[in-house]
Amino acid sequence: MANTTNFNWETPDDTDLVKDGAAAIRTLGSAIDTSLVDLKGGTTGQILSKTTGTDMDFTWITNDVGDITAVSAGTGITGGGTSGAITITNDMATTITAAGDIVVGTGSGTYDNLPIGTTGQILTADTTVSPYKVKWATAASSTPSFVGCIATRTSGTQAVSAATITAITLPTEEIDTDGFHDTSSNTSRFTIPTGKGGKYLINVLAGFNQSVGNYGELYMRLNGSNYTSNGYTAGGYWAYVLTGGFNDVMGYSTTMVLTAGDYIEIALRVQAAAGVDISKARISLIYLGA
Amino acid sequence: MIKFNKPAKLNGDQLRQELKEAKINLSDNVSDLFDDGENGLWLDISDKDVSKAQSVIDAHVVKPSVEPTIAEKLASVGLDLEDLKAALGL
Repeated sequence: MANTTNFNWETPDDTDLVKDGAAAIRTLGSAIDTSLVDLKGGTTGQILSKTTGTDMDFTWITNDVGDITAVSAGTGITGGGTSGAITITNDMATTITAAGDIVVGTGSGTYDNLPIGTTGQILTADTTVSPYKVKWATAASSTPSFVGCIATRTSGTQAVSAATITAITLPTEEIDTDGFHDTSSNTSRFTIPTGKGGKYLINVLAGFNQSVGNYGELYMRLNGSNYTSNGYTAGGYWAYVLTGGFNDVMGYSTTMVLTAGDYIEIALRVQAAAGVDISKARISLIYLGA
Repeated sequence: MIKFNKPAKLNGDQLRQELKEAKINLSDNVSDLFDDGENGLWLDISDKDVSKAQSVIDAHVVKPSVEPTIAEKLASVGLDLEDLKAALGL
């Protein structure tokens, strides 16, 4: 008995009798009929799908089962469709129309194009700008503004009695950004204004037309008393100079932590029996920060 | 601190001594006597001594200073005349 190579359908041998041909053809036909039974049926548009791994085991199925049937554009996307080649586009990308544009949220699920600012500007939050709430703005100057006072004596003299702590008066100013100093009353004082409490650099220079005697002392005074804290001497003087026999100059620099309402004065004490006259003085108070 | 008018001439050490002689309690702290630079003389004394201190201030007359001798000047730095002569090769 001969069989077909692929499906093993039974066919007559070459030596079979002709009279048996009808039966042989019927046997072959039945085998073919059995093998192709799964191809029977189906409807227009259906396609064959393998039912199992067995040969010739098929099922007619609708061809879109398991496929994407539609693409819908959600937030930030445009396009979509239900058939054929579908194009979708990133709407945020197309919102950008020029180099430097940025996409800014304008509300819940909404956005818009914010064009580039000018060179050097920075993106700044500003809730008053509708609907972006941000804007391009010129950056604040990186040059810090000076805060402080430079008060001086450039003419006239101030008499300082012997052995008496005497506040150095400063009738003139070069700079006074925040009303630290007054040139008409209490001219020796530097008062810390509201909102400017913090660290201060203080530079003192005082000059005389004569010697200060055996020695002279410069005092820092805080709120009317000698300042004796934070490294100052117990007596409150910070710098002293022995007489040079000629005109003397005294000075020093220090840093202090001061609060609003505090006032400082620089005072001088000399041993010269006749006292001395301060002919020049220059005291600066520089706000370093909170 | 109590404020007084500053006398025309003032020597703090001398005034301090005069206050002490008047039995006014003023410590040896230099900051107890302060000139505010605007004709105010501040003394850290008791209220009961105000009128007595005012009298002392009114009477304050600065004594003329006496120039120290050469020997006194040398002594203030631990030397004497012989040391000076030796240093000068005399």
